[in-house]
Amino acid sequence: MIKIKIDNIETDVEKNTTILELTQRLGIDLPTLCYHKDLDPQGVCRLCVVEVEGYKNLVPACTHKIDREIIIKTFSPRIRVARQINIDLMISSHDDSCTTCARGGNCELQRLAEKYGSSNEPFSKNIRDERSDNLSPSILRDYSKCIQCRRCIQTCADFQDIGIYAVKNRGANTEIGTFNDLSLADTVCTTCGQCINRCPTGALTEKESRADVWKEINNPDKYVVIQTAPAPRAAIGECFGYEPGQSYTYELNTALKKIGFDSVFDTCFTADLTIIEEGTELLTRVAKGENLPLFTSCSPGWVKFIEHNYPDYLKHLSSAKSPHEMFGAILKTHFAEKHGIDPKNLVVVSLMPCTAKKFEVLRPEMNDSGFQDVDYVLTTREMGKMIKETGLELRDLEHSNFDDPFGDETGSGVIFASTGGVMESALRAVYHITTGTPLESVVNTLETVPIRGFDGVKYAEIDIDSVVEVPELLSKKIKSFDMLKGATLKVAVCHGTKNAKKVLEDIKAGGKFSECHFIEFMACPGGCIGGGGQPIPTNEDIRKKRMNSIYSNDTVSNIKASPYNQAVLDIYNNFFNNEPGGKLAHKLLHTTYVERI
Amino acid sequence: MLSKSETIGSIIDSIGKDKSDLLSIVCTIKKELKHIDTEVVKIISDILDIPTAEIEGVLTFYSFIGNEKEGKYVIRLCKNISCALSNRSEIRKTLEELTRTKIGFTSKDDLFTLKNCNCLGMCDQGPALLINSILLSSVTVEDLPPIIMSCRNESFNFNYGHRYVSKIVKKDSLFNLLEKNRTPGQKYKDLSPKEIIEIILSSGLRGRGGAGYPTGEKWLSASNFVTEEKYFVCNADEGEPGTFKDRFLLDTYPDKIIEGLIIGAKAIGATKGIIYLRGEYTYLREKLQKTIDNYDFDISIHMGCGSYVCGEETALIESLEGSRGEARIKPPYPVESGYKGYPTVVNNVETLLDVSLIIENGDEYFRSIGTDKSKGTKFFSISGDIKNPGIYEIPFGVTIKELLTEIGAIDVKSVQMGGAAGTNIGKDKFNDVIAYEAIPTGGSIIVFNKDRNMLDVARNFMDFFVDESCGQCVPCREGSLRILEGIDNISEGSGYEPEMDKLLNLGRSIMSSSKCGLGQVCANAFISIIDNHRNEIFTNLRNRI
Repeated sequence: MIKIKIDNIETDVEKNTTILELTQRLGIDLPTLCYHKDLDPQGVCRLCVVEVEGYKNLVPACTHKIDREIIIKTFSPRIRVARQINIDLMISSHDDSCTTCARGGNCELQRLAEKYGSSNEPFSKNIRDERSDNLSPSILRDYSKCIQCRRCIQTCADFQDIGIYAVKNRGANTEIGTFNDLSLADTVCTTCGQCINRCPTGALTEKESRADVWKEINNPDKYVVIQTAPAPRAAIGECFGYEPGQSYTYELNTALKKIGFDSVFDTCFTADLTIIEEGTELLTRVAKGENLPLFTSCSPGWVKFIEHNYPDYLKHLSSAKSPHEMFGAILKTHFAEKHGIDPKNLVVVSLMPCTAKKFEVLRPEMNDSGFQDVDYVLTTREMGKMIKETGLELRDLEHSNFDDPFGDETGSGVIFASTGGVMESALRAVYHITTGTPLESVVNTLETVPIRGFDGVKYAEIDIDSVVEVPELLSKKIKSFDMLKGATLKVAVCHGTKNAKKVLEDIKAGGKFSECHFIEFMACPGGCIGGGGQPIPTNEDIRKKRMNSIYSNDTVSNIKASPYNQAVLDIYNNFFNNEPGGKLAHKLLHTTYVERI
Repeated sequence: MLSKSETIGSIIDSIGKDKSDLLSIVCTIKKELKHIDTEVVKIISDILDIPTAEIEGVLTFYSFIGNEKEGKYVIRLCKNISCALSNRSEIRKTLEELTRTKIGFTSKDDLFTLKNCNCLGMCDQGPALLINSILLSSVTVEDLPPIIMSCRNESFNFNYGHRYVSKIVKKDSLFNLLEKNRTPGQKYKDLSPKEIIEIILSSGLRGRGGAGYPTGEKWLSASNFVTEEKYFVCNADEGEPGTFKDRFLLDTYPDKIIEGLIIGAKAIGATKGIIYLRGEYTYLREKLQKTIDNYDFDISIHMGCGSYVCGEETALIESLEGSRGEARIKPPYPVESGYKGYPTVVNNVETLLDVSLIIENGDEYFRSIGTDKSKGTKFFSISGDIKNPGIYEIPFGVTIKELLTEIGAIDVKSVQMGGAAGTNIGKDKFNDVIAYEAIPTGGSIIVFNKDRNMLDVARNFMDFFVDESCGQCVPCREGSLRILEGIDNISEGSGYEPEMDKLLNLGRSIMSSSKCGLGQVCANAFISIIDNHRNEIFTNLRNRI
């Protein structure tokens, strides 16, 4: 412990604590901009500068590690001037059309300028690049709002290990850009949107679909349905300034009805379907011993990642579509037919925590209903804005249930939102079906399965001691579970493309993960709760809170495993000829992949 | 003929696939293929597993690399102050006429690319220019037609080699020792690392690059870390406008410098030595390599690629590792975690020369010269308005006045001490002494006589930093540009005196809040020039209008 004095307060700190960590602990507010909790401190915006006795120059709080007794001042005339000038300099290179900016009201630069005061003698404008890139279906890049904090570079290169962005040139010509100034659409961008979550200004935002959705809602000829994923429900409150970690599923249903959606469905329904399709695929592959490990395929950012970077492994990807795409295909066929709606007048909107879903819906493979299966994807942030446009206060709304006929969710569907969730759901289903006993009765509490939580790569083994007969639902695909008797099911979970790369490299080298049967991959750190379409800010504390909310929804859920969801069984009965992985299921619920450059 | 990817593949095979090989790889490829286009970047990216965007970021950081298509002859004309004080503008005009293009462009026949560049280290022989890697100094308007013609005839093979060694104007004890110590030093071989460090500590030697950190202390810290590998780096990235003494030393006494490096490496227990030689001095590489070959120690030469900030030791290390030369967060200091995370000492060329002389001849003579805190004599590069620009060896502790008398300068109104990063010394301080604790300088001294327009001089220095800032931190990247714009507004008559006060405040704030040594000094020259010459500048401006 080191004794230090800060603003005349004496306190002890552990060696190598940064000054910023100390001020955060003491509740002293310092302006920061290039700093983000998920990323390594860089010390480039020079806003968090403080005075340390004995130092000639100001010292950045974010990078300065305390290694000796020092005296710190967090405010002085010199600090005030430096902060103001540095804020002014940033503003001078920034297009501050705040009133029309997607981040207006939630912009870090705007907040800092307001709080720490820009001086009354601003510098003249010097916007280096007026262009914007709107060719990516997911991410909109407005060059004129970039203040070169470099958080997008760190996010893409270090946090996600992709490296689309880099600093180019130097001196006054320094700029942030892509290789050869390519549009994001022409790069290996996974469209995960993590860069958006960490951009302090409106330089990176999602490509919005709000206007299109309003237009459809206002068109009397259209029947507009929306499905909501669990991750946005656990985060949308943050758009209204509510404490993170509370789900507003049923208030949201009310809001969606008031906005004018004709039906509101729960994507968890098709999450259960995904589990059955993917589980069948797993059991079939295990029986045949081919293309193992099976990789999950519900994260479109991850799918695009493997298509670009590891095309040799595409055969490992489950052919099951992501839940909302399954839903889209079912809605435009089964649902439309049943309700006498012309599918060309049926508009399917998905509320997702995800920007990659905006890319996914445009994939040519996603037209199995004869139409684009899902028409629009709205991010959590866009939905927050739509509700605000109506003037509603989310938490004051009464509760509404989801619309029939897709009814109740299982807990399994809900936990899809979190890293490890798909795997846990799959294990519940596979274990229950093959052994006849619920997994939770064996592993005591499910929290003991080491696939929950924020470790980047997780690994678990589950022994299958005895097997039962193949239930009718699967009997057309699988004759017997005998091959699983006495087997140990090896599974792994990873989240963030950086960890995906680690696991794939291990598999390439024939390491431990090549022995796995099933691996869950998610493009975003934390899984969907940390998705690129979630409210800003997103950081580890907030992801944890969202995750807790997801798991508490699961705890209250009565049905744990997907194959025991009656609505799911019904649709297999009534529509899919009782055959997971069968001909119709294959047409509507499965997809193919392509190698990308 | 080999395909592009085969050529690149074989170049990479011969150099290495580590990230730290990147600069070497791209320089070699550029020599071979002339243009590093997007296809080349993609091939390198695949082999080295570095994202294409990051490679482009590295290429575009260094002014000698870049990703543009250039003409067969790339002509770089120094735009820094000493060359600007000589006949540079005439040379520029003539060059543009002869090559039928403008600075910043390539001629239509793809033969010539004209560029401005920063200090070529020929400040005593300006104006200077580089044609590809061949240096021409003291260029006259009359020299140019035959040179350009020879380029057009493909007979360009001028050997200007003899012209770049500087004139030694004033000798003192170091030169005397250098004349005495013609043969390789022997004494260090019998000394233990501890003994070497003790001698250097006791000599009071401080880094000759400018910052003046005690050399012995640096070595002591590095020697205390026990690691598998350690590195000893000679910083031959002399880029400060107005200095050329390291070029002179590298050219004249390479053996003594390499000896100093080996002594330092022994002292700290380094396994490998690296010389980071600035790209502008490529013509010295062969000579250095030949000298290295005479010694039994692993030393490699790493070429800089046209970036001033790489003289800052952590930026230099980033550059060695194949990255953009952006200064690191300190601590940790390189002595603890430097090149590839290992303890690394970075010392200036002259420091290493001093080391070899001190170890061979004992430290008493060194200690006996200079002031309390600044021991020994020092080599100064003196240019500007004097009759005999060149190398001067002068002991620490002389006053500016004594210096000016010594060099025979007349009608001097101020002296720039320490180059663009240094301070302008006005007449009121001519009685102050040159020493780390008083008026410091890494060796650059530029003299201005009564006729010079000091606002132009200030602009020249500021323009240098606008170019050379690494672009990382806000105050340096954006602020230096704002000062430059402000100076232009004032000199064009659209700015007025209160604007100047705003610029001075901005300058002070940039320096107190910037990340690295470059930003922390970038407004020094501007502020001190205005302090010393404010009345004169505004009187001139008013008279002109």
